Amino acid sequence: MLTSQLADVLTRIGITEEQLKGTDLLLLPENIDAGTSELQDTEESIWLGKYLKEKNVAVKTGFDLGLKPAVVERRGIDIWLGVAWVTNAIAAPVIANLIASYLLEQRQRSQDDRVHIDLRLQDGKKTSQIKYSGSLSDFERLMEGFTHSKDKKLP
Amino acid sequence: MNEDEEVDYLLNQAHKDINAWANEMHRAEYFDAGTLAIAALRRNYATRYIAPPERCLQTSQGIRVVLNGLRDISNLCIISSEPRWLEHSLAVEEVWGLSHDSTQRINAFSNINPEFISYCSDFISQPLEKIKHRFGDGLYTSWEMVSDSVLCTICEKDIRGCDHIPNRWYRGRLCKVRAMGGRITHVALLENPRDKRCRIWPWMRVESGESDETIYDG
Repeated sequence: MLTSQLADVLTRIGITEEQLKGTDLLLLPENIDAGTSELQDTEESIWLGKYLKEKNVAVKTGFDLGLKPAVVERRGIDIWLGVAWVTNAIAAPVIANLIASYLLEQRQRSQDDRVHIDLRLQDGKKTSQIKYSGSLSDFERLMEGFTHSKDKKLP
Repeated sequence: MNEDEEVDYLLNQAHKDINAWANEMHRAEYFDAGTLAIAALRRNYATRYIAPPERCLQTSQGIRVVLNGLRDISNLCIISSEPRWLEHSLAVEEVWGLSHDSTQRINAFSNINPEFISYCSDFISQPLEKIKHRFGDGLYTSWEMVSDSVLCTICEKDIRGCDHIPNRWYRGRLCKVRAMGGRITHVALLENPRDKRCRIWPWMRVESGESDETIYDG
């Protein structure tokens, strides 16, 4: 039985622990904590999810888990990735690498573009969290640190 | 011809057409260059001449997009070669739009040599520099839209639940996304939009008392 921030969130949106079996990463609506009646996936998080599935990452989105979030599309150049919740700490370095690759290779972004992501790492009952809003180049460095950290935890 | 031969034929033909365009551009014969691009589009790559298989369709589609980009570059050079084009708002708007259309188009086809893209970019960057010098970096409108769902044009299901990838071809059909039940929730002014064709120009400013200082960015 999960007793953690993750469990609280899952309970609130009606997802069971059973549904997460075998999942390394959850991509959830960006307003998952807000308690609003209308959850929202960001457009970019949908494409990220598809990219990671093609790379054989065990990723599930809110939609995969039975939610029907609305989809928000923003026409600014910023990249809105919503909530990325790593549920298997061992997979964190690979996932961090792939997210960085996705942004640089797939979306052909400039280093100055701004990234917005709520990155969470679940390690047992403990949740580490970074709410990042900054340049793509700094995000790359953050992901490098994430990849190379010995204990696979967020700084 | 088999599939490989047909694709090779299309690419060789495109190579000739693009070289002919580049020769005219090099001689600053922009009108002739644009005419060549349009003629090539109609003569060699019209959909009615291209039969399946899929790779042939994709190749001809890619070449058509590039040739449309070359036509755009010729047109923007025709306008921006006029000495006083920056004094005419419609000319500035047209050059701005053509610059971004052509950039998007010539980068859309993976078979294009990066050196050729760089050659094309020189034609695009010169008028853009002049616009920047005269009008600054600009302000842009931006909106946020919330949709109930986003449908895949291949399977008509929510794209979040299918395996199709937008902008990929599936049996001769290009996967696109169609937003359903959309509503605009915010409109904002930005300095860094995703699409720079939504620029607000100084001549669009509204002289209405309190709000007349928001648009000018020169």
